[in-house]
Amino acid sequence: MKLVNLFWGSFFIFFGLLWINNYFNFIEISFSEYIGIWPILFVFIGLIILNFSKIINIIMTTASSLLVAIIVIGFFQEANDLNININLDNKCSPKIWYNP
Amino acid sequence: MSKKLFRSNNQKVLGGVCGGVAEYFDIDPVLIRALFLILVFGAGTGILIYIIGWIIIPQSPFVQSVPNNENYFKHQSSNQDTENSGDPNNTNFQNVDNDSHPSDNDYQNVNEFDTNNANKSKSLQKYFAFTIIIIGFLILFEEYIDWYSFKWGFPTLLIGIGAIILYRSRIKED
Repeated sequence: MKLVNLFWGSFFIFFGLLWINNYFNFIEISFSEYIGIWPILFVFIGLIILNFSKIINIIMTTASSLLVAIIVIGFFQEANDLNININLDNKCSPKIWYNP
Repeated sequence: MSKKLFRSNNQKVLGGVCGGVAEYFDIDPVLIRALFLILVFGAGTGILIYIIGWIIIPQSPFVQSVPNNENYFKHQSSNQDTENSGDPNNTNFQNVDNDSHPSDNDYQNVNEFDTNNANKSKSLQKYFAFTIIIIGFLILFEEYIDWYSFKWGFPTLLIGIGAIILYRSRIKED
């Protein structure tokens, strides 16, 4: 299996799962706190380049796809929080914003 | 140091910077592009680095990558037109049997050539990978460990890089 395909497949799965979790709150985590761990991706890519073994490559690819999904969801959540804060600052109820 | 860094013509999306770096270190260009994307979204410096690279790094003079086993193609062409050739190019191959496939010797030569190159590029790959891992850890520590900061990390990294350069140049002089 190509690592690129593995990355995109697992990325979309993780991203979908986290998105669903965003609605139903099975796990209550604010992913925006975890944006700061992006340098770990450097470590993962370095390990993939070092090419120790096939299993490590697969694990690293899956882990990096999970991380990227978490970071993207974190960005979305952060933007969302920002939006709400702006609304609160302007003393505007969210209803007016979302259903004009 | 016969190897030089060029912007690639083959592996090209925008300017060929990532492809050139990938060809230099003999790494999958997808990984280099991923690194640049991470830099763009993580640190915000990726676009700047890419533009600087686009300006600084010269374009590769080679249009297509030359296949390593040139002899193979030469053999084929010589086999095809040995009859009607007055070409000066083919005079080198007059001793070769017409019915022979590319001989085992050629494959052996090709393999030796490849393994020599592979050893070099593998060491380059290792250097690149370790540098990336160390840089990743440095940035991570900056974020999450209190007593640590770039004040300590990057000077030590620079010292390490300088030591590696000196060490390699010493090997080449011997």
